[in-house]
Amino acid sequence: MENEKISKKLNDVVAYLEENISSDDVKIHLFTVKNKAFALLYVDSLSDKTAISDNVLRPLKKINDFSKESISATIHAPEMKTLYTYAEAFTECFDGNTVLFIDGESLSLSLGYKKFEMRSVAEPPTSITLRGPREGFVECLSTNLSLLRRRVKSKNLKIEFISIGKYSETRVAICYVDGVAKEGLKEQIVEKLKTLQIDNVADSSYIAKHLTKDKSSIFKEIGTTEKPDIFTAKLMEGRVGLIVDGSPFVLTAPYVILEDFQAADDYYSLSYRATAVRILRLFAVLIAILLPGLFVSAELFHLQLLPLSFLLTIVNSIKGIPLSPSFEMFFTLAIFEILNEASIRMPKYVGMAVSVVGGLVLGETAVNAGIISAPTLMIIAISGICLYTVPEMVQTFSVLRLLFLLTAGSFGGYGIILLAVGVIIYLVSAESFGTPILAPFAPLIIKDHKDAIYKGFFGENVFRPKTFGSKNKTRMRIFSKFKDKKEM
Amino acid sequence: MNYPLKTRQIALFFIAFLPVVKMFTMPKSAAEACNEDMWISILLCLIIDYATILALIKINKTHQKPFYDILKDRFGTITAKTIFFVYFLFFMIKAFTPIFELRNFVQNSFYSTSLRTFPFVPFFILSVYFCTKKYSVLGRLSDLLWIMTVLGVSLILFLSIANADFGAIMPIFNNGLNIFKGSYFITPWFTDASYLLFMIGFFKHEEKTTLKLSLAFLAHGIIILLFSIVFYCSFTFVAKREFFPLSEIAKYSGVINAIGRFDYIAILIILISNTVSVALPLYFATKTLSMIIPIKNNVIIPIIINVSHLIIATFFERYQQFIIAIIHLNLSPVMLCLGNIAPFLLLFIKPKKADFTNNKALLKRSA
Amino acid sequence: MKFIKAKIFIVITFLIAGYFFSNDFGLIDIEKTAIVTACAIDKEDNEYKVTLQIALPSEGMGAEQNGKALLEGKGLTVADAIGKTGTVTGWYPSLSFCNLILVGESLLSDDLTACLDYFSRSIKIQDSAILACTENNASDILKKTSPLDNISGFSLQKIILKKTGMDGNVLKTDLKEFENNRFSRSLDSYMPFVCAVDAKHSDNSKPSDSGSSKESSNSGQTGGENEQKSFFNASKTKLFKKGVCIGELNESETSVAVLIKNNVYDTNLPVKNVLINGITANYSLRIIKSKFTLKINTSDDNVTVKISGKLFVKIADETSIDNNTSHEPLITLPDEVKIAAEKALTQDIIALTDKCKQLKFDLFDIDLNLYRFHSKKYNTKIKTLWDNVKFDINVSVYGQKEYKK
Repeated sequence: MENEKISKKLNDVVAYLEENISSDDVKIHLFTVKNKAFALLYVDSLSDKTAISDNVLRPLKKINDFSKESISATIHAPEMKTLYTYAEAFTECFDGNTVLFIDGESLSLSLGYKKFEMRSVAEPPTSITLRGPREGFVECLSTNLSLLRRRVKSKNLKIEFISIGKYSETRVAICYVDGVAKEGLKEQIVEKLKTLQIDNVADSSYIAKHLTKDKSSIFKEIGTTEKPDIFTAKLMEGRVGLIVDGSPFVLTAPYVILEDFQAADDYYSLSYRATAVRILRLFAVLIAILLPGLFVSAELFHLQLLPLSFLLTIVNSIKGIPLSPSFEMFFTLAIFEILNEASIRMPKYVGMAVSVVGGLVLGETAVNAGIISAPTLMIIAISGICLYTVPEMVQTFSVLRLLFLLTAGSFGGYGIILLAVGVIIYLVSAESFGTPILAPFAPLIIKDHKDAIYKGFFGENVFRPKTFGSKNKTRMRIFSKFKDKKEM
Repeated sequence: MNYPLKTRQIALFFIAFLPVVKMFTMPKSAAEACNEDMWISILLCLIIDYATILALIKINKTHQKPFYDILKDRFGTITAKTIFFVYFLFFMIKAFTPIFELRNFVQNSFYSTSLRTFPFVPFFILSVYFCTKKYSVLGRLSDLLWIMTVLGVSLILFLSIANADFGAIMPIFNNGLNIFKGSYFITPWFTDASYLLFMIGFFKHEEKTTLKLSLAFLAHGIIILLFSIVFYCSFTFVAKREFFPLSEIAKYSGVINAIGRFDYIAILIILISNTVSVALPLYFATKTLSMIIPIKNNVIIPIIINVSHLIIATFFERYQQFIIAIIHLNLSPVMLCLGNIAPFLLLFIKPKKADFTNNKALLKRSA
Repeated sequence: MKFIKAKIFIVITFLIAGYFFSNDFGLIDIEKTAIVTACAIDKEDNEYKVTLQIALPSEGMGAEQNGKALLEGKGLTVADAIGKTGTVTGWYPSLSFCNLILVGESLLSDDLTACLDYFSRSIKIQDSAILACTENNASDILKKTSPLDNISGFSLQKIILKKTGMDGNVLKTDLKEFENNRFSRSLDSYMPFVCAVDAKHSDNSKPSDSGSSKESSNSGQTGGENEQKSFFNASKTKLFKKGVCIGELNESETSVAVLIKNNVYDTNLPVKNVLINGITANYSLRIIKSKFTLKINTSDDNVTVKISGKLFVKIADETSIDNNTSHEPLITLPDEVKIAAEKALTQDIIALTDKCKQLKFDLFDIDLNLYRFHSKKYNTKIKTLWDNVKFDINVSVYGQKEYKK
């Protein structure tokens, strides 16, 4: 069936179409012009019927020569493709194009009269910037590609399409800059994608998870972003990007953990500020992950870690609390996570009520009732806030936080050390398409540290990061005089 | 040719992992033997180690092959495996002291009122995981953890240096032969050149390899000497009774009185590198046993090695001092021979002409 | 097996979680821990009596008096006595925060090493704990209250643990230092001697709040119960040889000793009866910077210890004895004051060194310095050290340099 050629007789074509497509929203419109029969196949919800009428039906009624060339010349279509098999016709039809079958011709024409509802380009909610572009990717692939093309007006930007999904036939655009991307990386990704057989690709995360080597890992191995400026910058570093139709989150590979600690704002604001904020993010993450565990281990195992006055305050505050310190922390963390989850899922009009319940009732009342202590609540609150300084890794860090808490409550401070060492060993051995995810820290690549935790000044980052193995090393040159400017 | 290790990583390995394992009972043991001349006995051991390292750098440059391959090519597989078995036992014995020390330190400093045995079991679980990793992972760990060692040691020294009476190391050479006795006793803590012995052939000899590794070893030596001297100068006559200098040395700073045990932060930072450092002999024991008995599943050998150490650490706790005494008093010469003297013998093994030509071509290609 | 590592990881996580929720680690609950802040040791009927001062959280304690925050125990050894404090209350004494150890006068005639041995061996108590001896019973000092702080241990620590160098009138020592000196070559050690002085204050005065004495503001005890408040004086120093008390330094000797050993600053140096242009006045010189060095010379038959000191001072106060003429403020240091200060200080140092010679007490680590820097002559010189030692004292006092037109 897949490669069955289109019949010359239109009646056979229509019969074939009616037999294979029994969907009410797929229309087959038969019309005759001067005894020549035509059939239009289109999806009602994806096509611009006005355009079809103006640009296909009306012009066709005026022609006398019904050869394929004459018909092609008469029809005004922004894109036109000749199709020879039913499979191609179906693919084009479900992609939103209109397919014109001509009686007496064993071919059909695909006409690009797509029209469907899509979300407009807006600032993505997960990447807010104070200064910088505010466009974000949307679910429509062509819109996303337009955002990309507007930023990279070079013939070296290559985009290759691949369809994944037995029923969804989701188009994935593999984007890279020829001459900049690491050699062989695109081929590796395409190889890997071809090994996936799946019914439906609901989101780019499916592709991301398939491309990940260690599928049970807490840490991701594929980068994501919702912003075209960040996506473009990553391509320029030597990475390969994947835009998945139907998902606003685009993927980039290889991935390094450092990229989640870098925000777009860092590149648009003062370097001093950017460096300070990156250090702050790193400390915030450490606080988020380690603070609850450290506090529990200090309360249970290592009282001498705490200064005396603070220790007495804690003893004072935990008097009468029925739960042990470790269980109290776990319980408070669980409540916080429940609040977090509920606030994402609930309808907006009950959000206010839940904020009141969460803040006042659970917070203040629980402390006053002696169910939990104030230091515990404060620590969970601080930890929760610090976690969101790196929003892309919230899921990873919240799991880690729980693990550290369990370990600290069971084995104390040394348990934290052992788990930290275990995580470090895991991270140094993890790779993303041959690139260690802890680069440029492990392995130590000193040249790449100009844009690691320290954010170099404009003009310092002359070379592309060595981490991604691009052969085209230079990305910027500043000349003292314009006449000295040479090609890079 | 893709080498799993780089010269830089080996240099940072010296700084990250070698000093931390010598900060527990080694300074106290040296002080017991020769009082104020303890730094000289430590220096002697460092010099011997450095000489061995220089020899190994030369061997790596000449052969550009792993130790096993050099032995196999010259003496055959059975001899190579026999020698590797001897080194397997060497690393198993070398692991005892650091494991006992770490266990005692952790249990006494961190767990004064809780169960004494169980909290240390997770160390061996982590060690099994670590032992399954390749050399490239060890190199990257060095890249990352050297900063922990430097930071932790700097903080400890910063807190403790003001309270040290540096005149305590005078007079020099007053203890005569006891200096050599001290060196003899502390030898099992050293013999670090044995690690490099098993890394030859896995890193490329570059132009500045000798310089980089020498500087790194010098840095490691300075850290150890400085720590030991500050320790002795802080405690002088009561140094012999201080079992855990790491947790005692920085307590006298004004910061501690004001804020609390701030030095525990430095200790926790050092313990991160130290955990890997203590697992290193087990790691290399795994590597040696894997060459003797190649098994596809790379978890079995680490499990065997770590479980045996766990059993000894748990059920033979009563014999701990006895075991340590045997190692340091009776087995010191054996460890010295295997760790420092035996590598020199490789200098006398010349690569075959074909190998030499191949190596030259190899070096040219990879240059 | 697919995803074996993940499965093992999940199993381990569940095991740890099970252990976590079992809460069975053999730990002592924080609420059952007695946080000891000070420890007093006395000898009674050939037994050691240990009094532990514990810090109690303020809430719920209301009108607690210090006596109720003290635990006592008796035993044949110090460790025994400390253990018995726990059996009476059911609390586990945690010595990690014990920063003060007081030794009663009854123990001074014995080798103190015996009663301090427990603290030296135990890693639970910090080596940096301050050591002091008291007049009469050490437990009485702990039972007293001070206007500075409701908990006597804290107020004592405030007096002894002043910033190094400032108001140098306490020759403080800690456990490590005492042990170090005890086992040094000379076997000589020292510790401050604490006395309680009754305080006279108004009924309306309230004790100050400190970190752990919040109950004091709630108690309102100052007016109501007429509780006798005391100040503590640690300006004297007891001297020990082989752990046994052999003598004492008085206040001025202690001040001089602190000046020489610790290089003090921001402290006062009184100079009396200085005659300038017919006016006699007492001066108080503020020491901005001081540096004392000790050098040992063994070139001749004797051992000569040269004590050189340089003090940079400014005039803090001037009180005319005659009360009849007012001076203009003196910016530079007059020569008369300079000379008088040097003379007074030299005499004080001579008095101190004479006492050391008399008691054969090595306050200045002469023995140690001889061993370290003159090791070849050490064995011969040490035998007759205290018979032949000479002190050469040279003190210079400097003020602002005078500008001469």
